[in-house]
Amino acid sequence: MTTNLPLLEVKDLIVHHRSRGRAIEAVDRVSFSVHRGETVGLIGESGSGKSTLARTILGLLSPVSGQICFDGVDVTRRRRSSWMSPPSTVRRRMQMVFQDPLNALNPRSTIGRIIEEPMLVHGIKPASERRRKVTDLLSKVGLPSKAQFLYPHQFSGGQRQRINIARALALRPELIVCDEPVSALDLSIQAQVLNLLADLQIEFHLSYLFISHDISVVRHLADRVIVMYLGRIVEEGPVDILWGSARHPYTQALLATVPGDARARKHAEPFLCADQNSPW
Amino acid sequence: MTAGISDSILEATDIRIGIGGALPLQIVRGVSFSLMPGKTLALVGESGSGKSLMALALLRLLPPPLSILHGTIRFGDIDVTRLGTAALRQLRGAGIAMVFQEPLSALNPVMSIGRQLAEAVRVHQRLSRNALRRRVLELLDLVRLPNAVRQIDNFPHRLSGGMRQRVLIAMALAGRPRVLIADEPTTALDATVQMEILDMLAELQREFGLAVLLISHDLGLVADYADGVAVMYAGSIIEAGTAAHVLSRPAHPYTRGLLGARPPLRPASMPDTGKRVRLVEIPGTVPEPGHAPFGCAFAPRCPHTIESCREAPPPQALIGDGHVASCIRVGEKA
Repeated sequence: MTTNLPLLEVKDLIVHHRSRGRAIEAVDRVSFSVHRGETVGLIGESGSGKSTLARTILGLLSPVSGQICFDGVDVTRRRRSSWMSPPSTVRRRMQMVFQDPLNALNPRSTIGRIIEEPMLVHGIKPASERRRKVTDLLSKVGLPSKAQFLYPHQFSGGQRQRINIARALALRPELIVCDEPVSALDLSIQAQVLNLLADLQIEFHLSYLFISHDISVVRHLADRVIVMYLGRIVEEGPVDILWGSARHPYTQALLATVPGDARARKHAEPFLCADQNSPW
Repeated sequence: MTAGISDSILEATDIRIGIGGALPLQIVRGVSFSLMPGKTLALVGESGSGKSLMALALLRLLPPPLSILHGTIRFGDIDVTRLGTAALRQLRGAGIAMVFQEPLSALNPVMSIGRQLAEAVRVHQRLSRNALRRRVLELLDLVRLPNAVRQIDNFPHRLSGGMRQRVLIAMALAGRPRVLIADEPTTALDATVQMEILDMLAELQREFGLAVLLISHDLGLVADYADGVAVMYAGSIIEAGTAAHVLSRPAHPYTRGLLGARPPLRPASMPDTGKRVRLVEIPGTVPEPGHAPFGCAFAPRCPHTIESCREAPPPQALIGDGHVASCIRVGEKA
């Protein structure tokens, strides 16, 4: 399943946020990699730096130091403009699915236009080809082709997330960063979207960096897991660590919070005062 | 659920909520349940199922044009649906109190938490300045707010989400209520904080014999913290019983679907073949509030639908020991 060269490799990444002249280490010397076809789950509570890490990988934030390699190419300090330039076109090969499916969609664009836009930006021609792809993508995510003539508000939350996924797939990316893709969805819809992500991964041989605070979701989908706490990786390993073999006390405490698993809770020591979990 | 009616502290009977007038619209369609002192009833459902409206109705806080169209809410000797404004003020806080989902928007941003709490106490009690301060500190102690004496002059934005939720719970307890409604009290919080808050609520409940109505979409949380559970779909309770019974032997296809849609809790269900277990999907989407289909509202999404499902609303079938489900095919399925 994996070749020797990781698709994404992050080395000693440090990202700061500035607040009133003070620098806060949002991401502190983080290193990990994602291989082809692999799902890496990134767990952590709010303020742990997981979304900052995701945005930095996608080039939306600049790191203070460290290195991000995509398919062996250092993409850390390239300029905005060169993200788009061939032959690497890293931007095409890395896409993102956001948490809030409605805010991520332009309310004044039709669904067809929304899905077509990345192809327009990247100069995919002709128009007929783009339109054919839009219909194709809609069917891949389980939406009727007439959906392309409608607007985001005409869809339910689950359908909107399908639209976001279709747009992310439009450029045939290799890596999709999913930032809490199902946490805004109702339970019965969550299952539909998680199954869809699993199916698409097999069909397109995708790699996912899957960010979530929901351990049961990560446990279900991920091959490997990274646990972040206050900007650092405190534990990393195969998904099995989430089934009970975790070493780090923070991971153990997190596991004890999985609802419906009171059994695990009885065994864990409530050592955490989680309210302290703030980088500010 | 209906057993031991005489012990119940609050009893809602056949509550219907919606818009009256020439074009009536019913969103909650005949919901009944009772709350016992010291016990937690979980009202579970997806968005649009009417569970939050039900909570607001108990406090008569429904936003117009919505109103209670039918039914009674008995609290002690009184019928909440018939109370006037003055009596409602007495009831809210002192009889039935509520903790909301979003702790930041439920607090006044320009008032210190001490003053907000004092305000909540003063509504129900006349106290001297010193006694008031003592009572506020006592409440903050109850909810285990760290450094209460120092925090008392702080403003809500200075507190973390978990601490804000503690303050809100303290405010809810200020009037010494007998019923506490918690509408998704921990949905906005991190997992570790969520557990702390719920454990604390459970302790307070034991201490004061509170009856708790826990509104949630999270079945796992219900398994850990509720005694009884009522599952709502499209404005009706479709299954109810003890939490242990309903979650281990769900009878209604919707409840089964919800339980199957959760990622598994045991590694055993993920075989070593490397093949991932597919989650059970419930096809389609929840009907829009007020537009539930005739007959069984779940029929369009149900794998077991037969012709008669669409002909009339299904009656409640007793499955055992207070466990009921509204499905005409409950008897036939394994």
